[in-house]
Parts: sequence; structure tokens; C-alpha cells
Amino acid sequence: MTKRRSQGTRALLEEMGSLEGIAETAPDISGRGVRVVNIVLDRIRPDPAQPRRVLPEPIRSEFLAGHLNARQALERWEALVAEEAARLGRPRPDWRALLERNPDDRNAETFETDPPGTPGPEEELLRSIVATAATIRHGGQVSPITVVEMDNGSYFRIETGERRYWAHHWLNMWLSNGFDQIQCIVVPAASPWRQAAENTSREELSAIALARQLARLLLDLYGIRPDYSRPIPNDWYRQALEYRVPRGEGDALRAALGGIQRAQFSRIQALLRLPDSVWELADRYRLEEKRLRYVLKVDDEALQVQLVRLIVTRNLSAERVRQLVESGQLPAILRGAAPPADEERATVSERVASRWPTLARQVTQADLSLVADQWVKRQKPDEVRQQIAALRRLLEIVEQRVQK
Amino acid sequence: MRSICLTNNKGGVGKTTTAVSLAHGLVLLLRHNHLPSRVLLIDTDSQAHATLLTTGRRDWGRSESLGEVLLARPDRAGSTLQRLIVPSTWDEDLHVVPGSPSLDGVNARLAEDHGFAVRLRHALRSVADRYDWVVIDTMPSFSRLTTMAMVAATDIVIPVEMRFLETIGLQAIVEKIKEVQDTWEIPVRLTGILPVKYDQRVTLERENLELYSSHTFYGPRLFSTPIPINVAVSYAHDACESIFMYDDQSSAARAYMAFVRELVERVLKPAGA
Repeated sequence: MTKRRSQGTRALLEEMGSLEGIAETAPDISGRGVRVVNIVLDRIRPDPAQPRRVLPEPIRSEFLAGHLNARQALERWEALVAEEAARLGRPRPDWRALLERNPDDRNAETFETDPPGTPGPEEELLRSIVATAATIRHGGQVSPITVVEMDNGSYFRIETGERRYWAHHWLNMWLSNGFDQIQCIVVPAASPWRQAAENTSREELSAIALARQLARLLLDLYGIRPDYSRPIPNDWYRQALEYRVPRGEGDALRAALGGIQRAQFSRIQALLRLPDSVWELADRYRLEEKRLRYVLKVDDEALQVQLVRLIVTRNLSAERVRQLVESGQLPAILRGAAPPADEERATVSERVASRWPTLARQVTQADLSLVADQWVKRQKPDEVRQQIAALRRLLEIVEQRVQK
Repeated sequence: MRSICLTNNKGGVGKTTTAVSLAHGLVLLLRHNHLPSRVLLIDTDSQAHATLLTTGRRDWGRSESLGEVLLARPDRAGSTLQRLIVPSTWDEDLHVVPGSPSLDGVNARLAEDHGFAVRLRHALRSVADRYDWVVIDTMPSFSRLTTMAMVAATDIVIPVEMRFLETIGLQAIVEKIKEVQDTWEIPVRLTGILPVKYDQRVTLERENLELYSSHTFYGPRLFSTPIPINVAVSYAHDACESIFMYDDQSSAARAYMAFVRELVERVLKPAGA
């Protein structure tokens, strides 16, 4: 097998000059090749290679593999937020109130929809989608998303605007009428460079998303493109570790990544070496490169994951992470701060135990039919069944103790 | 939609290499210029080398390859063509209608059909809104399939080596194009002659190139950058990659991209502009 020697075709194509002078019959991107249309949501699919992730990773994988539809994915996300809120001792967000809130109404009271305390990452991200949905609901869709026609028009793949796509699905789920279509610009060809410009201009990317963005653009320079028909494994991005920036492309590449410096580029590229489990955590908690760079110095994958968990739970500074890693005692320290599975279970038990007596007393006074309706409506059948089983066990234990 | 037919009745001149390089080069160049970049490559050669290079397979059966379109009922040829289009392994925007050895049999059966020559031309209408560019590779003979490819084309490019026998054969190809134009009354044009496998160390080749450059008919039709003989082409074939994927800085890659650029300019620039 011969070894590929191509440096990517960008430099070669630049040499060829622009086709602008002959554009009379060859329209540019604003001409014949582009059209703006309303497209039914069901015919649109997110880009599996989009470096910036919207859905939580496990839900995203199932959605892209076709095991969940969009509505189920959002319901799963909502359940995840509810679990996270319970873990953090926060009330469950009132999504309807958030959706009702008109972002233009500056005098609106906020205390009902914004409970005190810091929301977890899942809630924070879902809140931003719901806020976008509220904006679209009250002010309309200001900017269309861009899509590419796929498989001879059988569906459209999102190039930019995945958050607006999910916001439309949210509106469709909660309000049902009038939001089953989304305004799209159908572009003749997807461009990871245009996508990168959109990603970096809207809001700061997490360090992991930036690493994926870097990989996607670098691989594009070598003509390597993902197989869009399936979820893109993280190893696809890791290929970029084997490629150098082609001569003359560095400035354009760094500019597309938000104007980062040369040294920062190498450090971001190095993050591609981190294992999947670290990617997922670091991306979700939006950890910065300056904290993650020390995780790279830890050899063992399990320790890397534990360290990232520690960074998240204790909000360790970059300097503190450096000290920990360079102390040479990380394994011992991490054993001390060990995976809080049992500890967490104990905390949840204490919390439920302290609240249960009050709640049980209130149950005797409540309209049980209303409670049942809300319970079944707000949670998935499988979850409700699990909770019923747990309650049965609780009741058996309590009965035994009462009899004694 | 512009359809470019690569033809030369002599074998081994580099038709297939030129066809696949043109097809991938178009995708890259058009995308780089933010133009619609979806390209369809049609392999009318029973050797199916263009199919092998761009899809990694040459074992497409008759029902999966171009023959199915040509033998379909005329009213179903378009939908059959749409069904047969497969993605290439090179680029998401490069699609292929595979050729196969069964095309030899199809070529013989077309003798019974007086309207055979327009079969592909009519079928291509069904994909006109999806592809702005079609590249057609042909077999090394003036077969019915080659006539059909020429009739389906808007532009014809002749790859030719700058050697004595090849240049002698060029006149025959030009006459064949004229015959197709007259017989089928279609506006297909000879858009250019591309010197390929050019070895400038060989005096005779240099002289032939000079001779053709100064010729009143051939001179204006010669593409300005000859494709040099280059070992990178063989290595790219061996790896089932395009020359741009294999080594974009090779002399062949640079010359092929210059050819693609010039072809786009010739095809799109209004006459006299």
C-alpha cells in the first residue's frame, strides 16, 4: 500500500485563482445555488460531525443511531435535568413558564423561573435551548438555519443552526401547532469552514469542542471527510493527531478557530489524545484547556477520569491541578477523594429521609388522582415503574418496622 | 447542466485518468469557489476502471450499472438512472453511475434500437436539477456506447499523447465528432484537446506540441498546460485515490487542476467573452 503524500488541496486551489471572473453563468453562493425555504423538521438531521454538541453525549449517540426520535431525545434530556436538579437540591425547572417569558419584556419577574443556586450543566444547556425557543415563539425565527440537501433530497443535513433546530422541536413538543417547519437556507455544499465561523462567532467553544473543530478543519485540508451516514466516533477526530498543518495554511486555520495563537493551537490539538470518557465530562462541564493540559500528563485513563471529576466537583484551579499532578501523589489523593458512588447514595438517602415524613403527611391530605396524573404525565412509564417498585419496597420495610 | 465527454478511440492514452481527475478536480475547485459542487461521473467503458478507482469496486452487476439504464424502457430510463447512482469513496459530492463488463453485451443489443444514441441524453434530464456537471468516460473505440456518450455531452475533450501515431488518429476523432453533430443535430462542441503523458525530455514530443500549438484548427483548442508523465498517477491508482488525494503537489496534480480550471473557464465563459 502506498502512503498518501497529499498536503491537502487548499494551497493548490488557491493557486488556481478565483472563478469570480466567469461567474456570469456560474453563480456564487448568493445566487442560483442557494434557496430559502421552510422545511418540515422531520426532514432535517443534525450534522453528526458538528464539533459543538447540543444534546448530552449519551442521548446524542442514541438519537444519531436512530434509536430515539427528536421528541424522545428532548424528553430524555428533560428527565436528565430533573435528576440533576434533584441531585443538586434544586427545584425542577418550570419549562412552561420559561417558554412563556418574553425575552423583550425587561420588567418580567424572574424569581419564579430562576431558582437560586447554580444549575448543573445539563440544566444550563437545556435552559439556553428553551430561551432560544421562547425568543422564536415571541419574536419569530430571525435567522434561518443553513442546510445541505442529501440523498437526492430525501433529507437535509444541518450545517449551522442546530440549537435553533432543537428549539423548534421544543416548541413543537410543548405548543404543537405552527412550529413543525423551520426556515432554512439550502446551500449547495456544506463547508466546515463556514460552520466553524458560525461556531466561533456565536459563543465560546469548550476546549474539547475547539479540539474537534480543529481536527475537522485540519482533516478537511487533507480532503478527509466524515461518513455522514452514521455517528462519528471520537477516533475520527483523533486522526488529526497524525497530520501537520500544510504549509501556508496555518494563519487561515488559526483564524477559523477564533484567532488562537500558534502555541495554543498545539495545546488544543494535544487534547485529542484524551480518552472518550474525559472528552464527555470536560465538554459537558466546559472545562478550559489550561486545566485539561495537566490531565494529559496522567498516564492512566481511570485516573484521568477521576481527576476530571475532581476538577469539576471541587472546581480546582489550573494551578491546583498542576500541583496535584506534579506532586506524584495523585493516585493516593484520588483514592482519598474516591468516586463518590457510595457517598452520593448516602447523601441522596439522607435528603430523601429528611423530607419523606413531611411529604408522607402531605400525601394523606392530597388529591391522589391529581398527584397520579402529574406523576405519570411528567415522567416516562419506565421511570414511573422503577419508582413504584422502590416505593413498594419502602412500604414493605416501613410496614415491617411498624408491626415490630 | 454541462456534461463533459472524454473520448479517444485509442486505448491507454489516459482517458480514464483524465475523467476521474476532472470529476474530482471539479468538485474541489467548485467547492473552493462556493459554487454548486456536486458532480456525476458516468462510466460507459466495459473495463470499468473509472468505477473501480472511484468506488473501490468493479463487480457491479448489469442491474446495478449503466447497462440497466440503456436497456430500460425509455419512460423508465430516468428513474432507473437515479436509482443506480452511487456515492464515490473519494468525496461526498462526487457520485458515480458504475460501468461493468456487461456493457459489451449492451453495446451489441443497442444495434437493434435506432434511437439508442439519445438514451443517455434523455435519461440525464432526470438528474439535471441535482448535478451541474457530469463527466463521461468512454471506451477506446467508436462503439455505439461512445456515440451515445458524445450525444449526451455538451462538451468533448480529447486527451491525446504527443506521439506520431496518436496525433495521426486525432483527425479521425474530430471527424467522428462532426458526424455526431450532423447526424443527431446536437450542439455538442469540441471544447479542447488535452496533451497527456507529456514527456518534455523527448524531442519529438516537444516538436509535436509546438506543431499543434501553431496549427490553425488545433492550436486554439489545445489546453495550455500539458499533463506531464508522472509516477504519482500510478501510485494514486494503486491506492485507489485521486491524484489530488494522493499527492496534490505532484506535477500531474498541478497540471490536472490547471486543466480543470481552464476547462471550467472555457465551458462557462460566454463565446466571445
